[in-house]
Amino acid sequence: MTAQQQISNWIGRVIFWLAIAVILFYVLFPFYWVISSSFKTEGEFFSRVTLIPDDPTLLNYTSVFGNQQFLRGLLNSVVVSSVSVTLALVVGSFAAYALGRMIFPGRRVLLYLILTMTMFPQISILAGLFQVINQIGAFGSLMSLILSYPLLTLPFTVWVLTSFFQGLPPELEQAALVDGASPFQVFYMILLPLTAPALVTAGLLAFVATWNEYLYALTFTTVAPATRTVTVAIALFSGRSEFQEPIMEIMAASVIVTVPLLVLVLVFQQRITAGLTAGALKG
Amino acid sequence: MGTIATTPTSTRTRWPHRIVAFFFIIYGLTAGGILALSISQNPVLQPFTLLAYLNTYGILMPIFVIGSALFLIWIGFRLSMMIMDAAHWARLVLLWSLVGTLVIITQIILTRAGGVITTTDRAILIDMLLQIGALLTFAVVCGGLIYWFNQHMDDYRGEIRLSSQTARIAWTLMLPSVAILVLVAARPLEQTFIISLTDRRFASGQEVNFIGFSNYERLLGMRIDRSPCEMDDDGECVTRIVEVETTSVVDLLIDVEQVREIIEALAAGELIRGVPRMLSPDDLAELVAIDDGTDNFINALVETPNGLNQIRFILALSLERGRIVSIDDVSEGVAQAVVTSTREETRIVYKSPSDFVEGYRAQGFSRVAEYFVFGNRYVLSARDADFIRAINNTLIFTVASVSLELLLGLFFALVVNSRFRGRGLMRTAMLVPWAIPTVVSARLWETMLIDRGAGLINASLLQFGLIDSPQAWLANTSLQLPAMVAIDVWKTTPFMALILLAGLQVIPEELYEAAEVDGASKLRQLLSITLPLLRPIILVGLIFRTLDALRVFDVFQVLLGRQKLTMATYNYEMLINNQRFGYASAIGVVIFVLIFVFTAIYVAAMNRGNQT
Repeated sequence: MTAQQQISNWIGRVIFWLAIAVILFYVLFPFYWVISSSFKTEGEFFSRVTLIPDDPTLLNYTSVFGNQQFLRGLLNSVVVSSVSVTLALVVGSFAAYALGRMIFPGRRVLLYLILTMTMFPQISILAGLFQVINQIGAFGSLMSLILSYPLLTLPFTVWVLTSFFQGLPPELEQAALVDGASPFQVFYMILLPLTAPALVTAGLLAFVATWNEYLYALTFTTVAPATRTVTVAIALFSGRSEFQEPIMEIMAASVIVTVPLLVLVLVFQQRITAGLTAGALKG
Repeated sequence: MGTIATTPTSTRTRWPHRIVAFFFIIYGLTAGGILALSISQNPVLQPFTLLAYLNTYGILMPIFVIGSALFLIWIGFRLSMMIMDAAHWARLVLLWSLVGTLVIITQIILTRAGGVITTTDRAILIDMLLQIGALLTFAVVCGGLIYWFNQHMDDYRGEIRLSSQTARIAWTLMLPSVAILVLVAARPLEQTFIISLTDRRFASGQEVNFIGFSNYERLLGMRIDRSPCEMDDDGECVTRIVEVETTSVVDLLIDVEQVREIIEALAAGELIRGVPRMLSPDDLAELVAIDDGTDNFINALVETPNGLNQIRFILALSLERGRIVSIDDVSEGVAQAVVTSTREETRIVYKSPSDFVEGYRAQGFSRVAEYFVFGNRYVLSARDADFIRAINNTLIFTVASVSLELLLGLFFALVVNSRFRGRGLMRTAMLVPWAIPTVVSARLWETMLIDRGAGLINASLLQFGLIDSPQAWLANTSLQLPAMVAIDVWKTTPFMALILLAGLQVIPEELYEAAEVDGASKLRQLLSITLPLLRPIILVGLIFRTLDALRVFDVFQVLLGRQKLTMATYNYEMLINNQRFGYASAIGVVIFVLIFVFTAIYVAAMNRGNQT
């Protein structure tokens, strides 16, 4: 009996680790493929399938770093993402404080609106946003993206922060208010430091969302190539020859664009997971 | 015990307080009045058209102005009654007005300054300075009044209710977010809707016309026509329409001997007047050589390149002119030999409704698809077949990718949920596809799907003998959607898995322990405990992903461009490449409504989940 159990236990473990291996392979291999290919020569890549480059070369990377459009895109993305994230966190934390810690007329409606807006289809207002951006006079500048990205970042930030604020014990500010602190002091000196982890989570998710954004970046920079973000630069990557797609350089560029995100994922895995599932669980 | 008769200062309404109360009423009346005056006097609105009105004022702005005006007047009346609560609201409103005015001034300076500096036109400069001056004056008045309220707050009576104070703080905190969301969501949505009622195009000097809902009619105009079909032996509706076509075929039943004589004469080089020699001497010689007394001769004649015409000439001329040979001899016999027979031909004709529905083509319909239901053929047609196809592509993509993601995600979540060393690492690994930008993941798969031997996927499939030759995954129309689904599944399954995982971890361990004690198998535990308890989370994950998949843009735009459209890429194509502003806006509104319905279902589901 015990022997039999041991065997079935053992088989179970083998199947389990096999499943783990399959998942890991599925999830990681495509990106590994790009990394390894980005170190190959064009000749090797197009002649046969090799898992490890025969003759590793940095040629693709030097070529990408010599591409002005791409470097410009990186810079633009950094600027747009950091400004949008900062804006979303500052403005969003105010709103979340109100929604999470105060009861006031209109709160429920606002909560529903924010929740609905986390799923707002960006494509559907493309034309109208175009019009508004044009009227403001921001078309063809980075300002157009900084102005439109709150649509992606703000509702989500408010939602995540609100659920964190709600989780904090109510005694916190009562004590402070009794001691004569103003609501703003309570917010800055007591609640905000406590929600630092939530701010990190919301900030990370907002950063990933803006860094990866493509639709608005593509549309609003149509006439101004100098304002393209990095995703648009990769999508419209053109090499030295206009007739051939520079696949090798695209792969090197893809690795460069993704590495900052992967570093964030490695460092903040738990925070990101918490943020991703916050919306689903705390409804 | 003498009572001290005190008269609280607040009971005496002094004139500054009256002026302040009056100021608020005037403020409200002016806001409403300026709007009304502007609408009635605006030269753009002479004569009044709905489009001109919507373009100038929109929908949100008047509502906002009227609402604010009423609110201000209400505050004014309550101020005149010396109510403390109203004074607090009044001070806050002044603060908001002050900040708002400063924002508007900054915006004017930022957007117009560049133009003003370079312009030499004094009028524009003066106009701008006047505007800024007026706004600054207003800001100073607001600031002064705030100061005044701070000094005289004690004159007002009544207690400050905590709830009212909270509401003031909360709305002040909400205001920046609300303002931004109005700017980036509500106003663009309003604009999209207004533009969708016009035939506006980009960069064309052409006049913009108000066309009501005709963009929507064009977009969504669909019809289903039933057209008959016939069952074949297997009971399948294969023959679409059996058309009986009556063709008159002139069969030449010829007196062979007569024709032969003439051909022989022609071959011999004899000149027969009126009969052109349509056959080459070689052909004629060959024909004459066939002399076996059967029909072979005439068959061979018919098969020669011009044989049939040659016969026709012979017959025609011999009938009409009677010159060639003696008409009595030949024509009588030949004439009897010519029989005009009528033959009925049945052909399978693929008919589109345009052939039998009146006005079908006039209304601009074209066929999208056809379905066979209970022995009938139904033809679905649309005015904008591309959009209907785009909806179809999007729906297929959504259903396929979301259901695959759910299955795979469930598998991932169940595996990773068990306790093992390296679980954190596993979760980190699962976040990799999620973190990769969609554009990059599209490019990444593009390189793996290359349709040459060097393409990894083709190479592996060839290796395992699953395909015979490399497939052009991104060029072959029937493989495009599966390829897109594969890319999307790879990128978003981890998200699904993480959500499901979070749900799994909430399920109490004791349930499984109890089941274990009762001897329930692992499968039984999965079906009776895990899945039922996970159902709300599965629902949430499904809705999240469905909403995402319905608006899919990046992958399709990067890899397929115009080859295969989704709703989102069609919208983009119409807006940017076709420059049809009005039409693209209508598409946007349609997508919005569709996704809004899904979102409403989602919010309702969440709400129900919360209550139970």
